[in-house]
Amino acid sequence: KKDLNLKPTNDITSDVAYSTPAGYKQVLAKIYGSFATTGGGGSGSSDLGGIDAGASDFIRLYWNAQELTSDEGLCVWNDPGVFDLNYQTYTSENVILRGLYTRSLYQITVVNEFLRESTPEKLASRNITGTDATTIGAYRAEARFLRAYQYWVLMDLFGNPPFITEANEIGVVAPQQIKRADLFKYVESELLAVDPLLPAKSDYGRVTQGANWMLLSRLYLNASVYNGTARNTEAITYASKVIGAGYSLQSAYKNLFLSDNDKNNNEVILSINYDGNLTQNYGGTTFLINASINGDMSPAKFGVPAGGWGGIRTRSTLPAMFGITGGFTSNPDSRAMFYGDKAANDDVAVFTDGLRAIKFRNVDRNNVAAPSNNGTFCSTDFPLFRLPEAYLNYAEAVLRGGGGGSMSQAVTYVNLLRQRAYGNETGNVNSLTLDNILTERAKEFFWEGYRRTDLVRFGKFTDGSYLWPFKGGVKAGRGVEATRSIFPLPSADVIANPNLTQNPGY
Amino acid sequence: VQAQTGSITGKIIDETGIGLPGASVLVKGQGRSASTDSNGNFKIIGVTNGAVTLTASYIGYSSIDLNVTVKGNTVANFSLKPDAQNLNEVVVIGYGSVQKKDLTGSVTTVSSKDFQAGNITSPEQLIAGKVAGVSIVSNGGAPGAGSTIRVRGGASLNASSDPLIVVDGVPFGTNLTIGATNPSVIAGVASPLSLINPNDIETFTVLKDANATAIYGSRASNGVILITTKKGKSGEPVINFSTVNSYATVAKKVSVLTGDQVRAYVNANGNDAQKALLGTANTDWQDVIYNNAFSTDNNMSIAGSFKNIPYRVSGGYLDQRGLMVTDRMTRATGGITLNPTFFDNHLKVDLSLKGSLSESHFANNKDRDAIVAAIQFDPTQPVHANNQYGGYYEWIGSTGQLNPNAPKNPLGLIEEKQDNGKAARSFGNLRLDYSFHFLPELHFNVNGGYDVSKGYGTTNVPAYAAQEASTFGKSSQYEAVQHNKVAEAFFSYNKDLKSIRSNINATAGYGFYENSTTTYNFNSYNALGNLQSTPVFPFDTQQNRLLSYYGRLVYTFADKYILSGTMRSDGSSKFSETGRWGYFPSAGFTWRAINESFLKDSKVFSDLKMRLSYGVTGQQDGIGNYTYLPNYYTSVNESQYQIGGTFYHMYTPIAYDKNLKWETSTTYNAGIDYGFFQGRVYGSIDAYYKKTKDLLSLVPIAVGTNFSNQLLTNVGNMENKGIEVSINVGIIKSADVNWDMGFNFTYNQNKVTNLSLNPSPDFKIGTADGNIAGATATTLKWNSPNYAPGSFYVYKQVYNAQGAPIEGVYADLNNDGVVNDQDRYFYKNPAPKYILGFTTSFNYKKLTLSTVLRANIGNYIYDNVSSNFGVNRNLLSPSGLINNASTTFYDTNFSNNQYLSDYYIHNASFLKMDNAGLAYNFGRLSPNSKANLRITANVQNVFVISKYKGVDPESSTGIDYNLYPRPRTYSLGLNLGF
Amino acid sequence: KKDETRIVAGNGTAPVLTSTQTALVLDSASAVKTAVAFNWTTSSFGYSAGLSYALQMDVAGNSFKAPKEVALNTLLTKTFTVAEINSLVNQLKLTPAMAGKVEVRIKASVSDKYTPAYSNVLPITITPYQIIIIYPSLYVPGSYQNWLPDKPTAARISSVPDNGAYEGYVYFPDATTDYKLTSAADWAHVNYGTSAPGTLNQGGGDNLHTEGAGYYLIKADIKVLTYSVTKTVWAIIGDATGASDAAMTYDTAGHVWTVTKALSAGSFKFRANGTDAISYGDKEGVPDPKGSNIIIAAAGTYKITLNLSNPGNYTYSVVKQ
Repeated sequence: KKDLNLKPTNDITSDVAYSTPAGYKQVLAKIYGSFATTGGGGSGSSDLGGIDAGASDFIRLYWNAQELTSDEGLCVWNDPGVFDLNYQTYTSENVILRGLYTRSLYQITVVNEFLRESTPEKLASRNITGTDATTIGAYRAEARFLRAYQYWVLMDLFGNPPFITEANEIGVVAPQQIKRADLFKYVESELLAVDPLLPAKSDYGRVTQGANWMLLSRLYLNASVYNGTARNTEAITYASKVIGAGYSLQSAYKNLFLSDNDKNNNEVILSINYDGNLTQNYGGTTFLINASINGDMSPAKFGVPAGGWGGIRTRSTLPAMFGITGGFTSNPDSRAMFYGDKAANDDVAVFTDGLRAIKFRNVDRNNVAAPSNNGTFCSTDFPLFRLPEAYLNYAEAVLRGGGGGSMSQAVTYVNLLRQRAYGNETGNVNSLTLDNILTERAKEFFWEGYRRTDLVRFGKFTDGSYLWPFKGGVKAGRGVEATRSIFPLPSADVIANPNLTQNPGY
Repeated sequence: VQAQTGSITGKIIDETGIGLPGASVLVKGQGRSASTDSNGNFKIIGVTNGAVTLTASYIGYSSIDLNVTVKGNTVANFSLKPDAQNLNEVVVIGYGSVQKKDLTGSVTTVSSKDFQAGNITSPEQLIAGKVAGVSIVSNGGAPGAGSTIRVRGGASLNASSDPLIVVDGVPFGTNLTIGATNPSVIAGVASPLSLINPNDIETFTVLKDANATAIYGSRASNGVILITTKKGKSGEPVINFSTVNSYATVAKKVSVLTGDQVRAYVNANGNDAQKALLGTANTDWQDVIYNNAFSTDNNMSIAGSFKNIPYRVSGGYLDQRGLMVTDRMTRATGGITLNPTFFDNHLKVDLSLKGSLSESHFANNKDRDAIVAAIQFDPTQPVHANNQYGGYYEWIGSTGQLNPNAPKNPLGLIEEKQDNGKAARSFGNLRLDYSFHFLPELHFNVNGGYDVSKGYGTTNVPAYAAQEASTFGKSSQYEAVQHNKVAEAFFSYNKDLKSIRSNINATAGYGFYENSTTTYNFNSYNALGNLQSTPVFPFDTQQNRLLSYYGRLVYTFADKYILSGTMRSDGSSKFSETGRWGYFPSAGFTWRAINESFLKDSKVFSDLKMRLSYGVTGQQDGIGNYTYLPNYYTSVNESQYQIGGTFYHMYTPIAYDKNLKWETSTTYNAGIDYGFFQGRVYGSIDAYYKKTKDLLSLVPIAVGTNFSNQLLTNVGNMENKGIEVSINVGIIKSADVNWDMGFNFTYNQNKVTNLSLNPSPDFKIGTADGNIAGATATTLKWNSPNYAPGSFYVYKQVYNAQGAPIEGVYADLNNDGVVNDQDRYFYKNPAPKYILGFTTSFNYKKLTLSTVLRANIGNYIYDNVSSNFGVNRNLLSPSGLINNASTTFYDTNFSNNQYLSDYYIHNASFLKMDNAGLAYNFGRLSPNSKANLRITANVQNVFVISKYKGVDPESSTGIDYNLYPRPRTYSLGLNLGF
Repeated sequence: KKDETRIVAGNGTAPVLTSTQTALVLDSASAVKTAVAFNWTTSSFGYSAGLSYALQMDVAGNSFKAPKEVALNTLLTKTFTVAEINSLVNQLKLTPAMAGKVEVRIKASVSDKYTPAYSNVLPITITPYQIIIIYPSLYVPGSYQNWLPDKPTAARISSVPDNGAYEGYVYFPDATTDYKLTSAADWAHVNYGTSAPGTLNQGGGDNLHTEGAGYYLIKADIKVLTYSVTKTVWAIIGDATGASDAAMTYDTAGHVWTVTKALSAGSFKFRANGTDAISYGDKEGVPDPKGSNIIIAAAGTYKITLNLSNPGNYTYSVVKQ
């Protein structure tokens, strides 16, 4: 009976969603928006079932996984999963890791559906032709890049995740697991495949060849972690491509992390974009800015008059790299953006035991706060890839024996960063060691979610030879099991998906 | 032409010789009947001359058959005797009614005289503890709060285990069923059932086995509750006025540390900064937010007949205050029923209209954060302080800014929020029952019903209030309108075939049901009038439809053997075309052994009946209306993404299962109805076995499979088995003293038998209502094969030699040397193994004492209050404030939360005295006066005996966290009739 | 109360710890080779427990007050490479190139909230090598080593904060020494000479020139192009030495300053040339200009060693004789 065919009032069926080029763009917005928002229903909504909005944002969770487990960040909150990360004692039940894993796979699922619905055949059947079809075809390359990025995240953090592509139908059939080395091949092949399809330049915040080369360089630099075979020459090749692509350093380092960082920014290669009113999210930079300060630090100065959650601060190891061991006053290196009068992390549960990193702020270059209707949401965009990574990848790959680069060029690149940081040449170096690079990366990229990956690559993540406060859960720090350099697969999914085998050691 | 019809007049008197008003007399086989007037007199006209059988009946009395020969005006008088067992009572069943003795299914009726007394504001509480196999757990003490009703433990996992409720033949729409998932509730009122005035209810009938329920097909798996409302009576108008005035008190509070205890702990364990935060007060925040509350409930009804049209008009006004300060609901209800008959009784019309208007002031009881804050807020701080947040003490940092991580002042949360809701509801139906002139055994029945409700409300928080300080207050509104329509038509045919000592009773019909809810979306503002959010769409309408065909055939042979069968076919808009239609048959065999010759004259047995039945029912509630379709939704204005300078609304795919299908239950039931010694002892025993397959449940699925990691889908099978016993005893029956006692016993066991989603025997799926407060995304209750649904899945706590739990230390149950998630085990579940109900009333002349006791045995509860608040890290919060903890903290001394320890799971078996009442019936105020008076005094929630130390052992979810305390209520009532 | 029997933890039984070596002389050349393996037996806490083991190492006599710990989860064996164990004992501040005594034990625990069980204590003698951190450096090729900047014989001066200001100690054996500063270990990059005393000439100028053999502190700041050269003769001084300088002697083979002397209980610092202008106290076990006095807890004869030969990696040791 026709009486029983009812349609929703405001939702639309997939046939309608994909009936116009505008619809495809709105789905493309979802593909990007999947790592900028937690859901389509406002800041309290979550794309992930059973995981609340606060524990489902990509950057918030990725940041926690990459920074709290490292020598950079330490969180004071008692929320489930936080201390596991602080102490590197995470288990397969860690909800932060589960949220991240689920978020990454969610974005992949959304991309897969888009790819299924945007094939030339489907476009033709919907009478979308000509320029429209070409434009949508270009979206496909962007979508594939973003999928490859999320697979890179999964490969780097979880090693052996479930694997789904547009060939897998939506339903209830559980995906198969992929091994880390195989996933490396897949990510590599996807990135190489989309390379000629991506534009050299595009709208701000959209995927370009530069982002693709940056990720390729990162992928190759870490290759020996993923499959045991170093690929430093390729790391240099793609870093050089990025360097040669016309990006340039922002003159003032601090401007990279302000609410108007979407303006006049030729350094950031790809960013996740937020808006305090139109892209609201309790994760992202809203989390980074609010959690890094508390009410006693005059949140209004950070552009969040009603914020200041008092959660995350540095481990003393981070300011120590700038030579700061007590309170913070000033530092010749302008990247040292800290706050507080005590660097030591005596009490893990006291927010002020440790300097606060105040790199991200919700004000613009004129110190005017970006608007948000609750005094908390931020408009600062989060840089996923910045030009300096190409410089440092180049230098590190040269030091690791990669071909196609030179030591003197490496020193030059590093000095570009140090000159910006010091404002003059007083910080320049004449030589480089791998340890220099690791330290330089901390100085350049702290609070940007690089650290765990870097420490793993340098063999210092689990090892007893490099300790930081509360590493391994003891104040003096201690070595932990080598298996901890890969996170456990969430037990919720190991239960739900019989094809999964848990990572060793969990 | 000689007149071929005559009339019958007479009088029906009770055992004391007084005329019984409202008793009925039926001419068997002719479909003619009459009711007695206020003096017990009746007259039936148009009776065919000749020998007929008359049946006189009255609720609570044994019916009497009388053979008379009609010629002209014939006189027939009856003297009825009270019957404890009411075997001749007419009981409503689906699409019809039968006498109790002819029932073929497992059906229990509770009529108004047996209802729970006192301050009852939501109808289902009338029968709490009264029916074997039915558990009714109130959702807390808020005014108008509903209850979780489970018939035989419920047959569903997550979809919905709520029974179908049918009022006067009109099924409530699924969007109105209590406790069902979104969009289920009427906006602006706590529970939709609370919009029915309990005083208008005549009977509750619970259909339990499939033979009784299967005629309701796809909505019947969790049992069916039929409610009939009071009807008009012929004769002089009878006016009834009743008032109940009650005083509710807090029965028990959560045990937390006092101000002095917190000071002592912080001074001993805190750092200097924390010690400096301590205040000097001793505030009991629970005392601050709870107060004793008066309620008054007044009802008036007039029943009589006007120009031969029986009518009943009723009105009620309830003003109920809640235990939380400012919590209040007022409700005005009105009802009118007309029951005329036309064409010489060939056409019976039942018109029923009910309406209600309620206004609620919600004291922050929707999300219950004031209840939580009252447990957690530092008792060393005063209630009030001189600050910019309305004068309520708040946690303010050194720069004068509100600490965003701190709980807000509990009283401020309540008093600074104006949360007002209004709900208007009207439901009613018109039933026409036509018996054909040429074939009086054939009836045609048409039933049209509607249920319209509108809920709307506003929430206002001033700009200075701490709870919305970041947005400078709040001003928002909501509105939802529900339209439910029912149209049914059926034929029924009832024929005695005397020649073959048989009776055939057949029914066949068609039904159409439509439920629709429209939610209107509004801009929301802050208290300064600044726009906070704008909806993308002005409204959203959710709709579902059901088309049904149904039939029933009952064949009775020799008044002893009854074979019955039903069939229903339902088509639902919630499923794709391939799986849309479901077929739900049932069959039953009943042996009325009492009518066998060897028992007929037994002095011992007054009734003996055996029932066997089988049937299939379905379940589709709790499922979204369009979840089989691949849909996208448009993101709201606050969730756009910027591409190239333009913000785009995102199209988000919604998880769907195109193969979604019915959940079906197959039930086998065997029962005995018995009576001894002229009904002095009677009751029934039932045993059942129910298998539910294709259970619908919102389950975690393998990530990457669909557009969510959770999906509502068919996941597996479950079985329920149980025994229900009821015993009623008239201990003393004499002129001055009557002592009755009723006892019911339920044993129920639910077990998940397999989860087809994954064949592994270790596979398990978390339940949607099994999450722990404080531990985001941590699921406590799981479903797994061979365990009861929603079993707690926890770690086994290890204790030290002193008997205290060691923090974070659990047994390595799988002996692999590591304690990880594979060492969690299933430990107990929230469902009681045994439910016992006991009612007794003792009557001496005009004085009646009565009580209702209930006990649950074998139910377990998770103490989420202690697991979340009873830790050092809560007391000495890292966020620069002090919190309070539950006193169990002294037992554990945990520094961090150990949410998944079995330490927090407690045996919550309990014995509750629900009600203790005293009534004095003055009877007629003077021998010639029609006025009569009855005065009642009641205490509800008299006592609870339980080993569980939390605030209340009774919980529908098994997780004790933010319960609005169930009050202890003292009430005084007066009932005046004239 | 639980309906069933509770699991009660007892006191853990002590694991029995053995090792493959009891004395180790570590050598950076064999950093990746296996140095020692430890094995131990299981502990039991009287129930089926999730036990985790950790290896603790501390200086002998310290009673494991501040042990270095390696988490080993459920393992019953742990093999250290030379580099790994060297890193551990360096964290214990054992003096490089000197045999030091450490103690090793195994901690078995079910939780940090419950008393752990410890194994027997295994004493081990270890001679570590210093882990030299190479900081950004200038090279000091000169006449004392045949002007070969690419040879290890070329001294370096380093900038620990990497700010263009370099310092380091160089021993000149000859009566006169000529040298230059180079930015890399070759002549192909920036070479600093001098054209005026105290001033560096970037890319030109004369050789730097120092008269007299001795142990020199060389400072250079390439941002402002200045340099200084100060001859240093080291001593210890403090109430432990009776408040007078106790001269140290330079060991040309070991590149260290040493003194063996009877000290009273008290404290001392290192200083050069009889003034406090160049002096080192202790900060976290290494010489530091702003460090605190070095404590001598009990009177006795001590051998005190100061090693300033690796720029940025200064060490000292105090060993009771």
